[in-house]
Amino acid sequence: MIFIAIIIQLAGLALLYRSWCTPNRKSGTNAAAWLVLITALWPWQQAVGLEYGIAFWCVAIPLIAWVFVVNNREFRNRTTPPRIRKHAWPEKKQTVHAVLKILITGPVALLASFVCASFLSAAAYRGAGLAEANHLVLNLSLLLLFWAVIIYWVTAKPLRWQSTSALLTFAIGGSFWLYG
Amino acid sequence: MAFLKLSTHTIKQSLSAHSSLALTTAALLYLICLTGTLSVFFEEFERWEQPNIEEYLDYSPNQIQTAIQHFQERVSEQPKTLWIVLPTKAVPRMHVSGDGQEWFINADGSLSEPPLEAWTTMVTKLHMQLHLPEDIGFILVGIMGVILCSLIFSGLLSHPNLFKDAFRWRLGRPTLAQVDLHNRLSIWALPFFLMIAFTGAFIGLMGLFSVIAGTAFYDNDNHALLDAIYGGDPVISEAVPNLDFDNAFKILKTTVPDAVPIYLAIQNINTESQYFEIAATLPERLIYSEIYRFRADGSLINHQRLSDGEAGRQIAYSVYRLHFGHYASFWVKLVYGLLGLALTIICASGINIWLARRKFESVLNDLWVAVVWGLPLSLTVAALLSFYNWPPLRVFGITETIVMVLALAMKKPFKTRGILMALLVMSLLAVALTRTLHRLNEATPAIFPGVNASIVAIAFVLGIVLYRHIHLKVNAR
Repeated sequence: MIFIAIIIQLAGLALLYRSWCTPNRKSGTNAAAWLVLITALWPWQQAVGLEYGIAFWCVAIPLIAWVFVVNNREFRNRTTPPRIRKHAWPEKKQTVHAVLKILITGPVALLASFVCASFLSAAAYRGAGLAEANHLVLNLSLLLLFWAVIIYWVTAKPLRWQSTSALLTFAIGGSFWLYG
Repeated sequence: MAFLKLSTHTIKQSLSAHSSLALTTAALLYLICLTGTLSVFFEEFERWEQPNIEEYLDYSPNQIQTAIQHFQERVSEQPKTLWIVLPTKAVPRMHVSGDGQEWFINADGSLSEPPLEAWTTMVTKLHMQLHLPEDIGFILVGIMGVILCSLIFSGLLSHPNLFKDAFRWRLGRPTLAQVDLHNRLSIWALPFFLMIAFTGAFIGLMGLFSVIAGTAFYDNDNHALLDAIYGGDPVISEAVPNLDFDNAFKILKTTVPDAVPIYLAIQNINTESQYFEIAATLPERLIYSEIYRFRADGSLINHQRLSDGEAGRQIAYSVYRLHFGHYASFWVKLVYGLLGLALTIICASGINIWLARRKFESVLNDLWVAVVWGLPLSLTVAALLSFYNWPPLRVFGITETIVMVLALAMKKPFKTRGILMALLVMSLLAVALTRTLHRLNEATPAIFPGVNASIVAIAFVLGIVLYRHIHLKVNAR
């Protein structure tokens, strides 16, 4: 069964590669390729169970895909011109800004994420009657997701006092709801 | 697909966020990824580091009783919980521990040497807590997991051609090859990297979460919160004085024939409330184990419902094996090792690309070479000198500092890289050779030559990379 699963995944990726090689990639072929790839989940879970099956399916994709990537490698020889050495210190601006943003907004972002995650998981807890363990694990999972998104959002946007104070107000307001 | 098209502004902002986040955390993330890749094989490294320990798969309740008796004779104070780690296929050794005191158990139940706290422990501790105090270290590594998630999001949004170029790998031009390598490795193993980042953050930040959520929902009682997730302990009174493991193992075999016991924990030993737990793995399950609780007389109390309880509990207890790749067979570890190496290469190549695009060189180029090649070199030198009882963490720190100073003094990152690679190849070969010579006339487990051969193979691959590196320089001239 494992062999069948690998063959199906190989077929799916081959289809994806074939579609990729044509000048005008057809979305139909791409969709079919992904469908074949997803189909491989079935023999995987038949062979090793649902949990291992999903994990094996996930880790098999990069290993098979790299066979096609290596097969498709191309050589473009050109020597790089030597680079000038500047007696300059590291570009402080970008790094310092990023560090400052993370330092300033990191704990605020954590609190804001926790407020959001607690609100949503509490709603699911009360609304859908979630069990306590499910409620807490959902809370932590959402917290991690929101925190990662807020870190991205904060680092992507220029640091402005309006957005920072909005985040701060939300975090403090939410803390009153949680801890007040 | 037009609705999925991102604006140039969003792409620019995402790229800025991607590089800012990466620049801020690159060295730490690289260290965590590198040590994480090595930590996947910590069981093999432990056996390789201490090959003289008796190995066996069969054990008996009598042997456990004898070991406990010997343990109690050796310690001055009885621990609250006594752990007996049972032999498994991955680690066919047995050891007993409690309150920080630990010894391996011989086949006859007598106690052998204490487990070596040397290089492998240093590497795993570096990965899990960066050798900082436990609470701070775990949180910091957990935050790195969150930042890795952020880097994945920003990477996806800042590379609009990521899917379009899914099979392209242009070699020959160093920077272009690095760009393609970075993007191809990232996109194909994306679900795996997201899983690693999420589970890493989950493990690292569970402690912090228990504090902030415990304060909010459980009146500062974070133990109550952890009990709600993982299940609480049973309350026992008037326990019999003798522990009947034989009966417990028999009951476990009848109740759950597929369960494979991995450890045994005796709680409140020698008190009226004593009981014991047998943790066992279940086939085709990612949960670390199911925990079966037994009264002192060996009768079953209950199980912790980690395998069949609420989904949240099962998820919370599945993140460990999923993160470390310790499930199914050794092949899973190998795949995790390869993908972990891929993530390490992504960290290194990302900064390499950023440095190459600057068109000039500065101190950062020197420092980055010292990080990328200096860290594996320092880890290898630490392993080598640990055979002569040098403290591995100190050796690691000193070597890395020397490498940094050397790189800054040379101001020639290309040359520094070559030297560090050559030193790494030599020290890897020295590790394998020294280890083999040290144990030449002793019986060693099968894993011992296997690990040595793997180290030689890695040195060989690095030798090829070094040859190409030198060749590249000759071509450039």
